[in-house]
Order: sequence, then structure tokens, then C-alpha cells
Amino acid sequence: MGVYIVTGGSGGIGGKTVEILKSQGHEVINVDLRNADICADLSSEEGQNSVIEAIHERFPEGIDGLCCNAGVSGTCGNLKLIVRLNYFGAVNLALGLFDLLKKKKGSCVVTSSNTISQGAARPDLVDMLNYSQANKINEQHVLEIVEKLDDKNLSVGNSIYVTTKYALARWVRRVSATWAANGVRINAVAPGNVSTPMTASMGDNAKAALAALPIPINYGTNELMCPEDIANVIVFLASPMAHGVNGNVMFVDGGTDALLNSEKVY
Amino acid sequence: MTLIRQYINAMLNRDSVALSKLFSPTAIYMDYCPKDSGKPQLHAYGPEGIDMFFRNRFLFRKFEIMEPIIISDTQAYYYAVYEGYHMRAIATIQDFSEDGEIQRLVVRPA
Repeated sequence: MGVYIVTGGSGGIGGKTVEILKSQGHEVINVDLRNADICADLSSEEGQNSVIEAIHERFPEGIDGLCCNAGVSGTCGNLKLIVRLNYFGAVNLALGLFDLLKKKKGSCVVTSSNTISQGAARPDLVDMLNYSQANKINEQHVLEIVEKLDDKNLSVGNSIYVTTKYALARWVRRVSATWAANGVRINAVAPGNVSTPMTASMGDNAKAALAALPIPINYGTNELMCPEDIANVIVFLASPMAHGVNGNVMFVDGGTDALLNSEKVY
Repeated sequence: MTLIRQYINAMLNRDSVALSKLFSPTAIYMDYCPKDSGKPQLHAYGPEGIDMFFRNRFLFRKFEIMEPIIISDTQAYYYAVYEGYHMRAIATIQDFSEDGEIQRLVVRPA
């Protein structure tokens, strides 16, 4: 049995991922803000470093999987938090634990979003985020730009959310070849609208926006995707069963992306 | 009422359910107009797909039509508005199913 690290595992998709991995007999470490095996604020550099250090101390022989799932929605009202947690909370942790994944030829799965295909991302900020690993100035630059935006405007919040998830998916694609050459697979899942504590806490306007993204497998109902729909795919991608899958952004949205972008086959 | 009239009414009312009921189970909806505006073309397949596709478009005001003129039992002109970009368009019902539903409807720049 393997050792898996799951961020945002105290509820929602991450919680189900922890549950499924444990049911398969794996040792699972939940990293979250609270009610976790390791409590840390992954939106801060200090929090990210403390987790990286703790995992190294506990599993010096390596880890089998890392599932970067912690994130906030575009309606949280804190644009800098969206950038810091959704993008840097995943990328910095994955980079910091890469050596442990390499030791056991493990696999990394990050949670993106199916909204990445709907054209709301800001390409300028996506570029800055993707280059931030090479140039720390870009990270500050993105945060300074975001700070000036209207955090009360839902469409701005959505745009920054999509920007972080797009950048995350593109980062996965970009590093996947080199990572795989070093024995570590990396993939992303792009969920549709999922019934989670995050979506349950959304306001009426945000819920109306959710309803405008139909989920074909739930046609005729107002039901969102179930967390286990996403978690099952995360667990599959993290497992040796998915050995041939690398650099893939897998849409797990019940068919929403195919509905809205049927002509895109790649 | 002709199918093209019902199609126009459903579009004007932004009623995706009424729109979807005009189409056969294997229907194809193709709108090539957005290409000229640099936006994605609109493609939807089957009544449920058409319902969901246009529910999304109508709710976010990504698409609407204005000033329609019906010119025959199978064709109508209108201004199609793609996220604020107006284009003169002509919708043509090219095929009907055996049950008299729309089998293939194509929208092109007019």
C-alpha cells in the first residue's frame, strides 16, 4: 500500500479522495486549514514550507501520490487568496515534494476546473503565473495587479478563479514531460460544478451562474456533480492503473465541456 | 405555425426548452456566423443538447437575436448578437425528420 498526500481533504472532493484512498488501504495524510492530519495555510509561503518540511520528516523514503485539491471559489471575495491558494498552494507544494515523488515513482494530480475552456481566463495573468517559478517578481506583480481589481464584482472573481485554474492546467502540461522522464506522472482533473461546502456557501447570484452550466448526466434535474465522481478519477490518475496517462487535463464534468465545445477534440 | 416561426419565437423569448422541442433526436444545429467575429462557432446536437446549450447562452446573455424577418417556410433573416457583437444572419432549415421536426438547421452570415 502507498502513501498519499491530499490537500483540502477535510471535505468536498478532497474529503472523498481521502475516503476512497483509505478504503483501498493506503496511508493518507490530509493537509488542510483545519481538521486535518497536518493543519496549515497553503495560501502562504510559510504554510507551504511547513507542510513540505513535515512530509519530508515523516516520509523520507518517498511518497506515492500527491493530490493538490485545496482551493477557493471565485466568489470568496478575496482575489489574492484565490491566486495564492489555487495556484501557488498547488504548484509550490508539488515542486517542494517532487523529490519524494521521484523516490517512489509517484504521481501528482492537481484539481483544475472545467471553466478553463470557457474563455474567462486572463491570458496576461496566466503567463505571469506560469513564469513565476522562474521569476519571483512575477508572483508579486500578479498579486499587485489583482489587488487593484474589484473584489466585490462576481465576474472579476470568476475571471481570476478561471485564470488560476487555467494556469494550473497549463503548468501541468508544461512540466509533464520532464517530470515523467524522472519517473513522476502529473495530470489535472477539470471538474464541473460539484456539490461541496464551497458551492453550498455560494450566494444566489453565484448559484444562478452555476445553473447556466448544464450537466448532461444530470439533465432534467438541478443536481450538481457528486464529489465522489471527481474523487474516483483523481484516485485513478494517482494510481499505477493510469501509468499511461501523463500531462492530461481530464474533464470530469458530466459532459458540460463537450456540450459547450463539441467541435474541440484536442 | 411554421417551424421557422416557432424557431424565431423561441429565440426571441430565449426559451431553450421550446427551442429544443422543434428538433429531432438526431438533429444538428450549426451557426457559422461567430467565425467572422473571432468567437467560437455554435454547434449543438440533439434536443436535450440544444436545450442545455442555449440555456447556457441565454442565461449569460451570450447570444440573442433581434429584428427577425421570415422570408420563407424554411428561412429567416435576423441580427444575431454574440456577446455584444452584432451580425446579419440567415437561418435555414435544410432538412426535416420523418416526423416533421427540424433535422438540420444552419445559420450563416447574410
